[in-house]
Amino acid sequence: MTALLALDGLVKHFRARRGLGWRRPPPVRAVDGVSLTVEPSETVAVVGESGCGKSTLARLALRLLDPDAGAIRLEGREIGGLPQSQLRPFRRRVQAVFQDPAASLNPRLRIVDLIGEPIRNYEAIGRQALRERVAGLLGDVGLGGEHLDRFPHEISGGQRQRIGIARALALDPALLVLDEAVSALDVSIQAQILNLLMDLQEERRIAYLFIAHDLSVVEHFADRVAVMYLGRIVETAPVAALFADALHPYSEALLAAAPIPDPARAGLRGRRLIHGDPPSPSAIPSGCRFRTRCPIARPVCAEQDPPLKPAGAGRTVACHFRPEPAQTRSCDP
Amino acid sequence: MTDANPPVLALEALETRVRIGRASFPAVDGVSLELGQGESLAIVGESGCGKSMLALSVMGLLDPQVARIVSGRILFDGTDIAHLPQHRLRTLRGRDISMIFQEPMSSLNPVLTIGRQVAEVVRQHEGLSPRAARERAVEMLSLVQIPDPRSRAAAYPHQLSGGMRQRVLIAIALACSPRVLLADEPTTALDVTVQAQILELIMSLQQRLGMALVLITHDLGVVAETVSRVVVMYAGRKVEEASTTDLFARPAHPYTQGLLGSLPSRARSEGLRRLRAIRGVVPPLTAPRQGCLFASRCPHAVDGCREEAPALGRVGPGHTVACWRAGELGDGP
Repeated sequence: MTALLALDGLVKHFRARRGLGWRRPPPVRAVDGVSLTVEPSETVAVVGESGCGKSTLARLALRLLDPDAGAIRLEGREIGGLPQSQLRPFRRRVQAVFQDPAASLNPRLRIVDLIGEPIRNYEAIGRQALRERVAGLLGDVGLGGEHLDRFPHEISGGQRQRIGIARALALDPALLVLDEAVSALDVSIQAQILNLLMDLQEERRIAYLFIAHDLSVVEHFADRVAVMYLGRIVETAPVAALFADALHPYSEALLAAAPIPDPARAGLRGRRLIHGDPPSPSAIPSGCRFRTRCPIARPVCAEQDPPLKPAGAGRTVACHFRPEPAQTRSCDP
Repeated sequence: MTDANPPVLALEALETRVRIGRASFPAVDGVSLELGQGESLAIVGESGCGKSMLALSVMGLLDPQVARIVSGRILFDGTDIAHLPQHRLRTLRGRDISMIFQEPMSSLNPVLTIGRQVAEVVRQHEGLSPRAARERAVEMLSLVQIPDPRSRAAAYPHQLSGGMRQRVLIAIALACSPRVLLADEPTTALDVTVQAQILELIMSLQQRLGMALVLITHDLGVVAETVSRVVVMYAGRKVEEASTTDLFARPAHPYTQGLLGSLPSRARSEGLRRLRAIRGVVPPLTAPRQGCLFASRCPHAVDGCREEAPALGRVGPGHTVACWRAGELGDGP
């Protein structure tokens, strides 16, 4: 089976303009060689801390940014190098929902026009037919037809995110890129939206590329997880395997740092916290990028950049010492 | 709370109203609570529940144009500070009660070195000489585990990472050994690995210095990892108070149950795929306030709930809840 979306060796560096004379600052290596696939109706989560490049990766996958190198294949077709003018058929298949629904909806459009806009871009459709289509989409996201003529500021944040989802679904895409789509929502509203996304996936067999930093949401929502650190993927694994037994020391540290909302369990675990902050993506350490914070780093880590290599059971990891030879995971953990 | 440990901070039926146009609305609506010497307490709730307004009321930092305390008392060491004039509050703030905020960058002065900003507090309150104040500043920076504190004291805020800035704010807040620290979402803007470091720092300093801590947060994971007692707020009112263990094991208010049910990790431990989201949204500040304010979203509401507001009643040792049906509902669904 061809993957729905295949990213292959993607690179995106941002070069700063020369500042006040002197030297040009080094480029920000936001995405620095990333390969990742999303299968039809699969949910792949990309997790990592701010500055790891996960949102840049999302924008590359959407072709909102042009990659410096590497390939983007959608349903087998290379679209990484296509000019914007030839991206129209692709845009139908891949849509996005962003973090801040207030900022991503035009405040001067009524909801019928907000959701109807992508439809009108692709189809010749009469006003009445459009209203009916949009009312149907509103129903799909759990909102009533009374919202058709409202403006975004007249509804709550959770409802605005439902509008964002309805707009993204309007062209019946195969893939939704969810860039921190539930991060700004209060927990009770976040639960409503996650339930909605899970229902929509079941009904429409849609695939999600889920960019997130909240691990407990990822554990619940994703099928597969890619952990990013400073522009690279350091580990990929089926969600259960990662949370049961993270291989990369950074994945371990992320899991250890995530607060557990259960006092009985929270006190018990031996926390292995890593120190310091992530380095700047414009001054990436030599060799393995994580070595400056890694509890198991050795001299070789400063010299050789570990490649992402298979680690059994559908997993990959980029670490010189993981999986440890004695515990190579050839079968399911 | 026992008599052997008189409260260092107590709120008695505090009501803070916010003015919108010509009308005013209760952002904090009759909240009472007690904080013992050296105790740690969390105030949790979603956006708009009044938790930050409560902290600003205690600190005397309300903008008089917008909000003011209309009734109730704030007792610090037995003295009512709710209506102190600003000059008396100024001697109290930073010395006896301190606060740290969510956004470390906007709380620091960008044109002063961090050493100077820490020193300023001790000079202000303890009248130390510039030299002695500088020494104390370096001590404080080392207390909050800023590496190489003597040379870092000369750094400006923009030269530090978010985690380091939050450490500086903690150093400023603790410089005069306050007896109460209010921390309003102190880690919300930080990455998860840095959040874990900062929480560990706050909790270890709290125990070492024996100060009382009020942690204001929306993150139930953070609550479970840190404090010993929790107050849950909804629409300006306190709806439940319990020890952290009791609250997570036996949540009595349907809102608390809904918050916990919205957590993915909670659903997973019960083997649920769908989250038990709370339907609807938090009522706006301007909504009519009759009966139980949660009734419109509550799965257990009966007609009586909409008529009269329930008072806080005891359901266990140190465990109170404001719900008409708490007795019959037990530990929730």
